[in-house]
Amino acid sequence: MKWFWYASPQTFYPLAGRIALWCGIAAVVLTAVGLYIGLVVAPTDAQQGEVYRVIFIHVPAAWMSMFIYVVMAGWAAIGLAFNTRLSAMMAAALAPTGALFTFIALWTGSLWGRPTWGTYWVWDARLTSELILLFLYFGFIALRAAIDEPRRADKAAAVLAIVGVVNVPIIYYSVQWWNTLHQGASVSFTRAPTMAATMVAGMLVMALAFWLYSIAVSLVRVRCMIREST
Amino acid sequence: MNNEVYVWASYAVTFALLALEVILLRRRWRRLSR
Amino acid sequence: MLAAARAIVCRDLLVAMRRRSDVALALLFFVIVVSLFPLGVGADPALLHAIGPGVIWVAALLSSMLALGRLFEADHADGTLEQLALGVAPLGVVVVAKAAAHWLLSGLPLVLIAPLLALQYDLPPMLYGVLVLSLLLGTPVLSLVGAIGAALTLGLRGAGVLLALLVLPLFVPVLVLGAGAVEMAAAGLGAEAQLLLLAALLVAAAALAPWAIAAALRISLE
Repeated sequence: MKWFWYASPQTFYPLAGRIALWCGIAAVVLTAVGLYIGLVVAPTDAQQGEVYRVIFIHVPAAWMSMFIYVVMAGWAAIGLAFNTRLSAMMAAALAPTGALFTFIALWTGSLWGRPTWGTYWVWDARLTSELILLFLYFGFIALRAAIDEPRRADKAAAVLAIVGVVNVPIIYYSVQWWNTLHQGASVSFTRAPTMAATMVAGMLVMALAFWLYSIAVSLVRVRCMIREST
Repeated sequence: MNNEVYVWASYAVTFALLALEVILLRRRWRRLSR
Repeated sequence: MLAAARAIVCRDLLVAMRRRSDVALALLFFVIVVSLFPLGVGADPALLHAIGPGVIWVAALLSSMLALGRLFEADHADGTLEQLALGVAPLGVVVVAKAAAHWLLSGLPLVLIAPLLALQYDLPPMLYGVLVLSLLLGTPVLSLVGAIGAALTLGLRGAGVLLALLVLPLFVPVLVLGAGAVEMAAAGLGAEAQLLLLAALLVAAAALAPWAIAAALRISLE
């Protein structure tokens, strides 16, 4: 019952404000910790030297790009199923942040590829499907912007988001399914990581920081949207 | 070219973009609170 | 249900036959685009061998996408689409029938004319079979997935360009597999993997797309 009480924009508004504030503060703290681990504590890599330190941004951003899309599609599905306006607003609020992290993942990956692979870009499965993810985000945002009636915009974009969610497993598993240049998974839920513990710790802390940042930014954006719609 | 430039460039671009997002969002909020 | 599907397919084909120029234009676009590339990149035979399958596939994607504009717009303009949505036949069946008619008009001609274009690129005849088969499996997927985009952008200003943005990312797996199949065959390795994956995509699209198209149509029509 409590959940449906917060489904009203008016009651959700103050809750979103409180959560956003605490998540924002936590995000700043964790970013500081993560950067300390990544840039100071973690050792120099045997093969790549200092260049590997991009990993503390690149991998968390890539994780967030996929995670946010799935959450966005989840809110879109809830909005379609229960016909709730706020769910569709949450999906819309997540899209710009998700697109930003996708862009950051692509950009930092490109800057990492130059010194290590010798090239800024290859058309392998993982990079290509991450690029498609960026276009899917853009398509979602563009479709919302093109439709004037708010309810039609919400629902149409929801269908699009759900159709596009198929891409996320493809990105994730692409390095297993295809022989690609991109490195395979080093961090998994089932096996011990194949990297030094400090590196894993740095990545996880930065991922958490990015996650809390996304929550804070999306909730502030939803608050803006609630204000704009009244 | 020193390879470490790529690391600094990555961090700089990332935090610049994140800061940009926050700034634009603040602007949007301010415009509504006025 | 089957009777309704057959009726819709026949009706769409009949309407299209009365304006044969629309159908012919899509085919002509395909041929022209494929013919432009050698003029642009130079007629080096080795280069054309290398890019031929990809160019033919990209042109198939683009002309299939252009034809999507005709899928729902005309029926929407004169009110037929609302009637179909309110009618007895399930909307899922209706949209599959319309997508099938769309494929017969814009996908199948591409499949049939592809060997001629492969000749233009001087691709070895042994590749014709793989090319035709890959297009045969892939173009229906393009029609089905494209129909989702066409339904979502129904009646919007700038629908054409928006449709491209929405639908081309979803087309990419088909493109990669289709062109990849022909390139594998050209390299002497088997194209079975790509063709089987294309077939899988077709089955998945046939099973899942009708829901999405029908849902999108309902959203656009209300």
